[in-house]
Amino acid sequence: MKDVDLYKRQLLKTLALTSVTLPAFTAGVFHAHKLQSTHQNTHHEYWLSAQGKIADNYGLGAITADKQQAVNIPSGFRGHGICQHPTQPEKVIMMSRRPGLIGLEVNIASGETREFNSPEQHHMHGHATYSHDGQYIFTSESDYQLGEGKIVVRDSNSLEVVSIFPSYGIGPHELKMMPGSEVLVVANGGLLTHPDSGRKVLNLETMDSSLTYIDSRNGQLISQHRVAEKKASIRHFDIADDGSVAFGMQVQRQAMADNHLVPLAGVHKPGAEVQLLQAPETLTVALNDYMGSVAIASAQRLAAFTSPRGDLAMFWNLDDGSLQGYHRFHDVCGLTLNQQKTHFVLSNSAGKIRQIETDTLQENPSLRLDFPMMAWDNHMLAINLAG
Amino acid sequence: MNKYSLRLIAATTLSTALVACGSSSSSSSQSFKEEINSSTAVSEIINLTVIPAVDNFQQQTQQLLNDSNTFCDNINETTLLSVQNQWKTTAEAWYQYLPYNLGPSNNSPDLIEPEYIFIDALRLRGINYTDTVRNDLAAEIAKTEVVDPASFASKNFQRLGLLAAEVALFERSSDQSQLAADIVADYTANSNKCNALKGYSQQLAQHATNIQQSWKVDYKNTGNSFRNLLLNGTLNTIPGEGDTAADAQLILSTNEYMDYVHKRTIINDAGVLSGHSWQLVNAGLLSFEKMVEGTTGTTESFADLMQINSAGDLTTLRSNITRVKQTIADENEVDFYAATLDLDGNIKRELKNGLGINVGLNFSDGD
Repeated sequence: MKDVDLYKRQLLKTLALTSVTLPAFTAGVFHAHKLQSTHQNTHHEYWLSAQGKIADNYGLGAITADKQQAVNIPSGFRGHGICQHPTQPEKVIMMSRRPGLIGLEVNIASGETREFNSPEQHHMHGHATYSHDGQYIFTSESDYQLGEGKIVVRDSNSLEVVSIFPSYGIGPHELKMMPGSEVLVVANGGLLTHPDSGRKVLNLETMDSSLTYIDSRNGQLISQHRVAEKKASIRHFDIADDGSVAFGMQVQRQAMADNHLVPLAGVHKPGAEVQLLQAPETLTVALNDYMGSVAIASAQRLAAFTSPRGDLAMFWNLDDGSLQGYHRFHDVCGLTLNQQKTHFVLSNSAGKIRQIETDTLQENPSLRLDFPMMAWDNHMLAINLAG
Repeated sequence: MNKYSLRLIAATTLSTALVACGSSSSSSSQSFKEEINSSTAVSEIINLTVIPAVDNFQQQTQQLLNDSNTFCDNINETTLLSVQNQWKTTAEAWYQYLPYNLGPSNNSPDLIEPEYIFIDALRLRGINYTDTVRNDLAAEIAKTEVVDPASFASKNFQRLGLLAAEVALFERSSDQSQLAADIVADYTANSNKCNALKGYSQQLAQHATNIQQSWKVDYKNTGNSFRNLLLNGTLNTIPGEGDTAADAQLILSTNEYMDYVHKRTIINDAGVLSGHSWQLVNAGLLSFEKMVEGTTGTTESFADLMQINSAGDLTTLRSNITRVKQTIADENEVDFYAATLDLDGNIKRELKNGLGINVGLNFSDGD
């Protein structure tokens, strides 16, 4: 146990329950840790995640470099994915969860925040990414009047919308830039929603999910790839250094006629067919048709997936598709690779953090962290302000 | 900048800002739970409902093995009826336990081949392996050499368990006749059928004993029982274990059971040959009710806590338990599945919320 005394714990609990202002918080929280870290010549790595169980508490949660504190930057909405500016690493964006309307830019160093909204008749799907040069922000959104998926392009300085192009599907979700190219990879979940009906899926019978490659410069479709199971929604992915894409799916079981088993993970490599990642029947059943996050350790050729409904993190080899291991962790969803790429970092809604060594896939219990006031949401991102 | 708000966090958001200090996970977060204290009730559920169910199932499988041996030593309709009845009692004992399919049965020795699938293959995902069992049993019977019952330890889960014993006990292998005289004749004519029955019974008893040992004596070679690890909140110190709190595990496992019952339409698949389907689901329901209401020796039940915390939720929950009971009494499949679906929802909402149990953000939602 680190040096957090019982009195302080009780105080924090009391403050949380009564919504009393915490005087300790200032924009300099990160500065203090950064200076301290610099002095000690250690890494300035932060782990970021949307967090919060109740509306009053929603925010962007950040675990400071020394891993002793977690700071909540209030958002006013339930966040989902977070991305980092490629050339101004102190800037990150957290998107509101489907079907939200707000994106939040946060300058981690200064504490400045800016909001931006969906264009008229659009709502967001929770994810964004920057262009490689940092000039543009791409967000996955839907034109709910037309029922079409859109990629909304904003100038990252002004946050003004500069163009909108199709996602070539319905319900675009996670999106990322292919390393070393201008290709934008988009997971079209295939699920139609409308703000008037909240998160209800309106097209279960006709859903069509795809992994879609788009030229980010002009919005032209490059290619699209699907899995055989029509009710499997490709929702999240990560991209390896060599362009291999590992993706996770969520099965709309209620729309299926039978209970046949559906693999929930896959890999797509440039120029190749989609390869589904197989697991023993019992493990696939245990995943409860739901994969929540994906992260790749390129050096180890490992793709990691989390299933909060299965309380499992799963690890496959990217090349031969063999299952390498699994780790049980209640309600695990947040998943990222630490900056040194030595550990997969897992988070859950109870505020807990676990770290799995990328070389051995063993958890190091001595690195466990517990932030009981934080409820880490679906995605986590490791950033390094020192560059 | 009129479209965007620009602000300094420190200047405008202090009212809701939080700074939370981290700690190593070895220090329990229990003190932070914003919920009522249900630890006594949970402990009593484990000790007064779950453990007795575990013990009962183990004892019944042992009796099934004994009765199988007795029957094979003296094959006649009387001894057949006795072992058939014991199968029914054993299956009911399993369904008493099934809502509590926790670590000893579903994560031991590991998640890939957990104990429960060797007892109840249907439970995995509702696949009815009756034809697989029939074919495998026929192959065993047809062998010219004497079948060693111990060799059944190497069979895969689809060919073992309560279903396999049921197939062996309740029908003639050649034509599925369920007449007692035909079944007795089948055993008399085919000595390997008795060896198969012994093999099935031995494996059931072994897996039941494994589960009992894990619950009460030694879970995964830790030197500590699952009961203690669960109730002490120290499961997360064991490699390969999750860290779900005991109260949440009860919510999740009973919810999963009800989900299984209505989604897999098990009246058509469980206990069919023995004609015991309704008794099995009734055993599961009564066991769940015991978790809610308590039993002999209970000093604090979930119902007691809900009565104080959320009486309306308790009324709803009790009402639907009564409704499911009635559908079982009526043997009305359509209404039974509908009522069980509602009870499934009651666990997710009324029971969970009424007790203030935190099962995670993704329990009923996700993205």
